[in-house]
Amino acid sequence: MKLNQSLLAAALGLGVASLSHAGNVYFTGSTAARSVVYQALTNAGTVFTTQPTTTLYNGGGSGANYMAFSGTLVGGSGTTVIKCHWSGSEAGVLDVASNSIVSETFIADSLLDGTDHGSAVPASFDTHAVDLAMADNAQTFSRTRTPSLTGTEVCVITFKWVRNKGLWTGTNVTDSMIRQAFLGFCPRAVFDGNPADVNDFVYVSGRDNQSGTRVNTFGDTGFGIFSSPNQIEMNSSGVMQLINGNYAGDFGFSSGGTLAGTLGADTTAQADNWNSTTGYSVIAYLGVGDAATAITAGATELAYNGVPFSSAAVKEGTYTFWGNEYIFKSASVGSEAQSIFTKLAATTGINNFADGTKTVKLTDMHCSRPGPTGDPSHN
Amino acid sequence: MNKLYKTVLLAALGLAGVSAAEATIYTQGDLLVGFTVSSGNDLIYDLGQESSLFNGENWSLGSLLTGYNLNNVNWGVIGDVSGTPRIAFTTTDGSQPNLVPNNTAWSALNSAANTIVQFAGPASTAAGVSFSSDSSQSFSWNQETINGTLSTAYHNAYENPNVVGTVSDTLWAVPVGPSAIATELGNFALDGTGTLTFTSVPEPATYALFSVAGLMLLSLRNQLRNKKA
Repeated sequence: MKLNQSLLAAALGLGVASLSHAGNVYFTGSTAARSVVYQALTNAGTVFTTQPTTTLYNGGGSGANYMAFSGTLVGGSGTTVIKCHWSGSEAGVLDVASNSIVSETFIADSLLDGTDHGSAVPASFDTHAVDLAMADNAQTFSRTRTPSLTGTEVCVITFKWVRNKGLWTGTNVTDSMIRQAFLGFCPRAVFDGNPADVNDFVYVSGRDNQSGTRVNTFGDTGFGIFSSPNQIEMNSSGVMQLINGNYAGDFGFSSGGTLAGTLGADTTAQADNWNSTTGYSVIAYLGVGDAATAITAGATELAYNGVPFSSAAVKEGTYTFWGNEYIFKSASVGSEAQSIFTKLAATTGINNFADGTKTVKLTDMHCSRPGPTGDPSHN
Repeated sequence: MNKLYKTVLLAALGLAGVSAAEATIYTQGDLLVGFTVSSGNDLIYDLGQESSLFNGENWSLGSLLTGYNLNNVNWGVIGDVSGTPRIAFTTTDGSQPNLVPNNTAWSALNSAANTIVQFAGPASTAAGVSFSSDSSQSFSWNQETINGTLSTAYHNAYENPNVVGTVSDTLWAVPVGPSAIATELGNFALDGTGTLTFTSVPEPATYALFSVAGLMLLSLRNQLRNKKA
């Protein structure tokens, strides 16, 4: 059986490799949107004629950070391979705006075996320029505002605040609390209102500056999309990490999934190396799918400005922690990438697979907003 | 992708506001002077470490300021350094600066400095580095210190450090503390050629020497008068 698997894998790999030279399409961007893109790409008849051969690394299932889909495009012929590396919205916008100058890493052709490799990282990579990218915000709210890209809004992407098992045990955060926590010296008293709680601190653990989740968070809270935070990182045991000589700074995880994996940690008795005390608390911002992972691990979901997350609250605009999800394309895409862009941008594409929780169909929304710095206005 | 390679490529492309995963970091202790007319591009220049300032030090910035009318340009100096206590550096038009009552308040000023330099290019700022930013962007000198609406902007979190034109701007060191007293370090003066000159405040010992010298002169004058009488 093992030999058969190897032969099958080799055959799949060789088959894909032999055809992929003429038909590889490279896709990057939002980690928060990787689940809905996975649904659209694996559904027979949406992009591929039949369910594609799917290879996954570094996350597993629709949460994988590296994906590859092999099959025949609807209306096409031969085999097309779509390789995805979910590197963050801002990274994705930069990738496609650079018009083939900036490259990213994808699963190597030799590893395309139709297997879900769980948390394993690919052993070898294909480094290539990028054709398509997902982003959690319009380009006008991006770090890379020029050159202007061709893009289409495909759905609404939702986010949540969670906290770890820290000294703060509340269930709601406000913009003001968050802005102070972003500065790295916020005593717990700001969060619980107890004047005695000034000797331990509440920190934000978040994403790096290539993240669209971060863009939406910084915009929605009024901290400022481009403002530089004092975030911390901890490992899954709750040990505060020393990065570039500091325990707090403009740090952040490149993946929401990786961040989520740390938030089950209990830090009530951990060393706070930044403010030199013992015990601390962490809040974090995540896509709803990654928040579920964190909550399963032991984190607690938080209401935002007094409003708990629900699909209805998002649709009516009372819960404001959500963004406009876009697909963008490079100016120099080939015919296959153009075909995929058109299929995914159509209402029958990504929009059709919005589950109403992690993503919401545009037609289901009763409000809209220009971007993370603008309030939702009801229809 | 190699960060430096990416930076070089993007610079060659002229892509605005791009950066690799790690933003440029403000070098703590450095002083940043910013110039803006609230339109077009702002100029920011790293003057180097505050601790290295010396009386009479000057910077010839004329070639960098050719796009500005120096008579109406807003300019000011900011900086900060971690330590015990943490210290913020800021210019004012001569008036006593506001307090920096706690570390959160200090961190807001440090965040502003980091925000201003994040697109400067190299991994961290250093003396002599200059860069420009679109004055309409939230990370520009204009938005951070004069016109921005974010509560995290320098002038909203603290105060506006700018003066206008070819005048002097007093530099202060403000330690963190609910009643900590700011120390006047000296003043910067901008002249019509775009040269910025720092003049330090004399040390207390120097004041004492001046006082002694003054008393001796008075005494000598009195002795001369007495002799004439």
